[in-house]
Amino acid sequence: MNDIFPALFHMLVFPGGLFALVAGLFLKGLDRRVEARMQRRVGPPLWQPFLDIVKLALKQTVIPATAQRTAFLAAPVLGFAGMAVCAALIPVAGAYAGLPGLGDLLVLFYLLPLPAVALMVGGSASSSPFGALGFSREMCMMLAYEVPLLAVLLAVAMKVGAATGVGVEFSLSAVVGYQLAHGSLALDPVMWPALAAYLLFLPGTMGVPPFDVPEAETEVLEGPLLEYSGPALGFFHLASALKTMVVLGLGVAMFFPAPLPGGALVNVAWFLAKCAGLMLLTLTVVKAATGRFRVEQAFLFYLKYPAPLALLSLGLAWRGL
Amino acid sequence: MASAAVATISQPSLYLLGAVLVLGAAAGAWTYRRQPGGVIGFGALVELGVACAGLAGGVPAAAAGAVLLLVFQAAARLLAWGAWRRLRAGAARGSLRGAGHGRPVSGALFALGMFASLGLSPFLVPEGRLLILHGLPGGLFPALVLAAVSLGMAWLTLDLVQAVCFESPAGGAAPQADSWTRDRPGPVLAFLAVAVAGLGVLAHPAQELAAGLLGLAPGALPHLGDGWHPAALVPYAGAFVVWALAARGLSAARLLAVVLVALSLGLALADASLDPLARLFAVLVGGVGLAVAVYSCGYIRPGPRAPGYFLFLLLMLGALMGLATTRSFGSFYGFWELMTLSSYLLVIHERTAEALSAGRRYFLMSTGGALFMLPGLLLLAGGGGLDFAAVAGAAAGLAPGVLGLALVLALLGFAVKAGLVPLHSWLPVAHPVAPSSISAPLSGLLTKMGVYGIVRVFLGVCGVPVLLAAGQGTPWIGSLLTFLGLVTMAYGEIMALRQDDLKRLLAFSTIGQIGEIVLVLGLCSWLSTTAALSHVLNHAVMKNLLFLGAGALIMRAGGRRLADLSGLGRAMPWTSACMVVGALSVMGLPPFAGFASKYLMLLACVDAGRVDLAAGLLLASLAGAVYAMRIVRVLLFEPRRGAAPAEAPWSMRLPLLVLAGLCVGLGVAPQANLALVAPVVGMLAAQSGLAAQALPTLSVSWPPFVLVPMLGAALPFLLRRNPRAAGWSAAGVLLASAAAVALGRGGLDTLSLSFALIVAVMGCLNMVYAVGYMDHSHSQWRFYTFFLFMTGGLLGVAASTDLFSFFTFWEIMSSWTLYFVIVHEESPQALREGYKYFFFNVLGAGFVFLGVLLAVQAAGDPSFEAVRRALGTMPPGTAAAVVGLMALGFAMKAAQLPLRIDVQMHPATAPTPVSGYISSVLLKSALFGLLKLFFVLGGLGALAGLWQQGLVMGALAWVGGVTIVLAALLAVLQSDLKLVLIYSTVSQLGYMVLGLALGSSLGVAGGLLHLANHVLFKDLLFLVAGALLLRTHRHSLDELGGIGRRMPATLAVFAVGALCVVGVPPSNGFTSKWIIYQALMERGEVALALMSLIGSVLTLAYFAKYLHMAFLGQPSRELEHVREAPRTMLVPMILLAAGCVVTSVFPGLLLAPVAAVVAQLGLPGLDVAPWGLASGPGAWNATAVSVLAAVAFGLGWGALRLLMRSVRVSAVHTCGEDLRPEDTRMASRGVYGLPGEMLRNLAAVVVPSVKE
Repeated sequence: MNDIFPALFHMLVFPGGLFALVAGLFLKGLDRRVEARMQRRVGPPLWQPFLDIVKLALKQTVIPATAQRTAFLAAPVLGFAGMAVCAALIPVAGAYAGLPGLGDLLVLFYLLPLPAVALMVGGSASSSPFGALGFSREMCMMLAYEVPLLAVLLAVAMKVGAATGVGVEFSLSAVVGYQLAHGSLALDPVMWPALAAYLLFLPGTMGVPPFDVPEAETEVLEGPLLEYSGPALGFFHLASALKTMVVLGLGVAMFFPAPLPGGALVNVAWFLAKCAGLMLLTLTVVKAATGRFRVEQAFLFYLKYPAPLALLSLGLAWRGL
Repeated sequence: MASAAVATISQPSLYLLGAVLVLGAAAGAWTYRRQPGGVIGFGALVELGVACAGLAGGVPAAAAGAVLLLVFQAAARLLAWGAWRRLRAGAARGSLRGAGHGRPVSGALFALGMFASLGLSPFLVPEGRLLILHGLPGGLFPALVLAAVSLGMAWLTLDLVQAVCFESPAGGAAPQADSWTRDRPGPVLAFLAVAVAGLGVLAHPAQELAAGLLGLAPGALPHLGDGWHPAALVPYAGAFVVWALAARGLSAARLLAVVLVALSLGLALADASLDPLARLFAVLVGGVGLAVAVYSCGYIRPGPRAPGYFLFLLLMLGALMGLATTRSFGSFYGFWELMTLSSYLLVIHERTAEALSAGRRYFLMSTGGALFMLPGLLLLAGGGGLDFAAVAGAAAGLAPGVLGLALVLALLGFAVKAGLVPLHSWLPVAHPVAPSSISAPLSGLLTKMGVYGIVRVFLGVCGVPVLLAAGQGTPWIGSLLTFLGLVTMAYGEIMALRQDDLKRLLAFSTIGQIGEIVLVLGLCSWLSTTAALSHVLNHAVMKNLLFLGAGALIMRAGGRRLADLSGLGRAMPWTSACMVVGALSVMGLPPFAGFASKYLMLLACVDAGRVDLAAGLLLASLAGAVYAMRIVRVLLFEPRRGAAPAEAPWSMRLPLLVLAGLCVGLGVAPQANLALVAPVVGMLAAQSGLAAQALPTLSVSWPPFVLVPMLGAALPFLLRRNPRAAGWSAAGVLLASAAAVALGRGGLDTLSLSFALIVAVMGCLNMVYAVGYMDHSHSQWRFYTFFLFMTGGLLGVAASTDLFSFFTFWEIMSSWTLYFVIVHEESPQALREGYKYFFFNVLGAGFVFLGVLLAVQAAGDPSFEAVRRALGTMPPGTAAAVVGLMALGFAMKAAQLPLRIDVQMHPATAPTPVSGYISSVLLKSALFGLLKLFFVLGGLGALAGLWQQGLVMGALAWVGGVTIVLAALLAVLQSDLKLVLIYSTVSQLGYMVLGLALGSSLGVAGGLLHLANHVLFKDLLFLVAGALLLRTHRHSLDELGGIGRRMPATLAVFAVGALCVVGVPPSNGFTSKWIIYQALMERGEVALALMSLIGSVLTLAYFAKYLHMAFLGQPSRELEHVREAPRTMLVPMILLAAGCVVTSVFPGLLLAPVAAVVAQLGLPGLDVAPWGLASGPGAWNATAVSVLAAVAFGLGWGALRLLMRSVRVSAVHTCGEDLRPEDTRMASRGVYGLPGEMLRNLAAVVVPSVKE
């Protein structure tokens, strides 16, 4: 139990907590800026997300009369807390090895849907009909992208486990450690389908176009978020920022963690750069370039492409390739 | 001088004359069959022919017989003819029908004369005919022709007697009130009547007299009979006294009848010289007869026919007693005919057309059987004496062909009586029309006399060596019996399923049960004889109970159809309770009498290497479970239409209660039954060379903590006037049981101890909850009482150290007790679903049963220790069958057959406290059983060496894996509050099965930990559903919405339970699943791991929907009044939620006992710390993650509260439209959108019903 304090530090300060929040919000700013540029707009400053958070923190909270108050307010905090724990589990190669013994990949698999669940619970607790629609759509998306995610995680665990002779390796630090010794998984053709699946998973789980069905403003008025305001809405934004860092960081850790020679600071920057690159590639560009799927199109898309890809890698890894 | 006359005619011509007379006169009688005079006259010529044929043999004894026959026939036929003359004078112009109605004395004399001429008389008949047949020359053929002719004459005679004496007059003329005193037949008829009676009563002196007339020396005639045993004489002679007394006043006569039967029983018991077989049946006759006599006192209304009823009842009991006690085939045949006559007269007691037609069939079939049986017996005797010992000697010397023929002929008579197919057809028609007080002994005693005959002749007199000799080495006689039994059993049980008339149903059930007995008897082993006789005894008790009970119910309800009896349970609680005991006993469920003998019979089948027969028997008892449970359902759980009648009088209730008590007593202490049966088998074994076997162990261990709930079940019953007190008492009893478990832990290993504690403690919690939940229900005591019985069974399962006890308790907890609590609501749907589940459980138990039998047979002893040793040495096929069958049964209990999960689950219509209990505790017995099977019984070890390692377990693992996904899929599609949870249970059980089936320490630990966690969170979730049901009265998620605002505490505990079952880290559900995943990965079972993880995603999906549709979402306007659940319900829920939280943060609390179990099972140890597994695969720190999550959430929540300085309440934004929730609410079916539809289509491939 004496490693609880280091764990708390990692959750509250680095790589989770403050670090992840700041980095995540900056990434959000970068995202908006780049997207604006692609659409030939100027775009907001990089620190705009910070300003938004501060503004929301100072605003009044409006709660629907028919809402289940506790659930309505607890939902955003639930998503935030889940992502805070996740953020502590993501290793930063060359700077942070991760927390062993906390279940890692499977814990992440269970905790990653929490912001989505929080959104669903919040929308549902708000008692708004649009919240209910958002609930349904979010559920639909979740059923779509959880299976490919699961297969990707298992493929990685299988691949690393088989290579290191322990059967299956669920520890992220071990996964990173293996890649530092044997080269990144992104370089292994067997894992390319899994990598592709993960890249396709990212826009879905982040709810960006063309997969922004649950919060579609033009259709369901932001769905679950419709009734949220003030600090509670702010927590949703914070959770989203953390989640951005978690899913991008997870991708980096699983597929191309390779560090640069040099100190920890260099590698933190290198890690952030990789995250930013990943984000621009899978979120920003896609977002700026596409419209919105209908809910069933989005669902079928995940069923048709990422899931078989990830399963292919899993099968290959299982066969020991 | 008669012999001189005989001598003047040459013998062949005499023989020819006899033959011509017999055949010609028979033809004449047929021609004049509508005229009594014709039948009487031609009948006389037939008898003359018989006498002639008898004389042709030149045997002096036959000559004496001929004299006797002619004298007796002359008296009888003159009597009949004289009586007919008087009747004809009074009848409406030559019409036969009802001619005897106005002149009862003449009618009675007519009947006496006619029956006597057939050789049937209440006063018995002289042995003339027997003497003739005994010495009949020409071998078997003439004897058979004579039997056929006699049967034809019996037919004609009976038709006349029925028409004249028993049918109503054609014109419907009102019968004269009581003309017994006015009908005076005159001195000639009186003299003839006295002669007929006297010749019968004084048969022996008459016989000596005839011999003297012929100049034979005294004692030259063979002794064909052996007289009366006092036990038989008392009711026989008393019958006439009772009859005379009854004519003056019924009450004294009834009392005398009871006393006489009791005396008879006493005499039978007191006679130490009776051989054990005779003793067994004498006790049976006396005991059942006593019950019937007492019952008849209340059942038979005073009236003109009442004296006759008691006369014939006592005659019948006398005849039965005589049959049981006689040691000679001469008397045997005489009693047999008296039994037929007296029971025939009882069957037609009501005199309805239906009764007469049924009686006619019964009479002719019985008489016909007896007529053919007689030559068989005589053939067996080979012309020598007819006492058993002499026949035994003679039979041994017979040629095989003759012997076989003789046995088949004898079997004919026995088969008719026993009701073996195809000679059964009297049985289902006679039983319903007879008074119920007669149907009872008809089923309980008379059919048993057929069995008695088979046992006596085939095993007692002949013995196995002779039977083998008859078949020239092949046991075809046994095989014939087995075959007949099998056909009879199948026919009876199948037909019983199709009946609506209660008594017909019971009659077919009797056919089925007799079939079982004969089937087993045919195996001709020591064990099979024990089993069959033991079942004879038990069946006599339970079938009498059922018929007598049916009589009481029918008398009050006024109809025999099951529908007429619906809901009588509340109006006639005593009678119904007794009926239920009888029905459960017929089903062969413990702890009732039928179970012990069924077990023995099955064991005998298995022992004889006939597993197919055992399976057949089990199928038959499955049918029994269907029709007998129908009776229970109709009586107890269906609503009463029409007025509620009064309870039956005490004189009828008393025998019912005694018989019901016997059913329970013989079930709990089967040794009592065996004490009576074992000496019989010992005797038979000595006589017929059966290889003696050890008596199978039938003792069930009842540790104190099992007795506490079993006996404590009386408390709620005693407190039934105060439902809340009854509920509290049930909770108290279970608390006491938990204490008893904790105190009496001595003999229990950790696994059993933990399971027993879970059973008792969870039961207590659920009972506290039930106090609130059942507040507005009805007859709460019944629910509590049977719940206690059920927990008693579960505790017994936990405590058992031998397979017999284990299976006994297994059946107790999974059959009737379960059924009674799950159909408590009594709605048609509850009854249908509850019944389905009951049936499925009995079916599953059947597989376990077969496995148990194979194991016990191979081990010779049911103790786990012996079975463990035997599994290693038994043939590989048997070992595999044992393990496979038991695993299949356990998997069915856990609803793990992946196809059609919908028919294996416990029903949503059960009261919620028990639904939760079934899901969280009762179904775990399946996993408990699997563990015992794989590890304690050493099934795994036995298989390891003999089969490809893990074939069975591998299959089971896949079954578990598929079930996880499929059941979760079905849960996603449900909208019923409880069905979602039930499917969820099945899905979660899949994880446990998967873990256990892996067989590694990690797998078993994960499975067990998930089991323990599931006990907590699934019970919690069910209790939450119950709270919703109670407060909203809505069953469907579609009808709820926004309840969370009204029931915040319920919502909070639901959230805890849902997080745990979904397995969101750091909940206890995650810890256990994590270990299972690790165990799977350790084995390289990626596909199974993937499936179980996908199951988790689906679990999240359906609980999210549950949360949304029930607690959150748009509030339903009609549910604004809903209040929080009452305290008695909240407290157990909160306790369970607290348990979930504590075990989530410190999984070590549960892992420690789990690790102890794993170590006791002989698997490698685990490194357990308070925060989870400390090292190796599966290690993870739940406590640390809990702290992290708590800190993160706490900081976030604190910050939010701090920042939320001002709050404004507004209406929901609906773009300015006034949207009513009813219009905008999404149906639960639509919540998942396209994926939902796709999943539905996928599930419909397996379960078509989800398509609706």
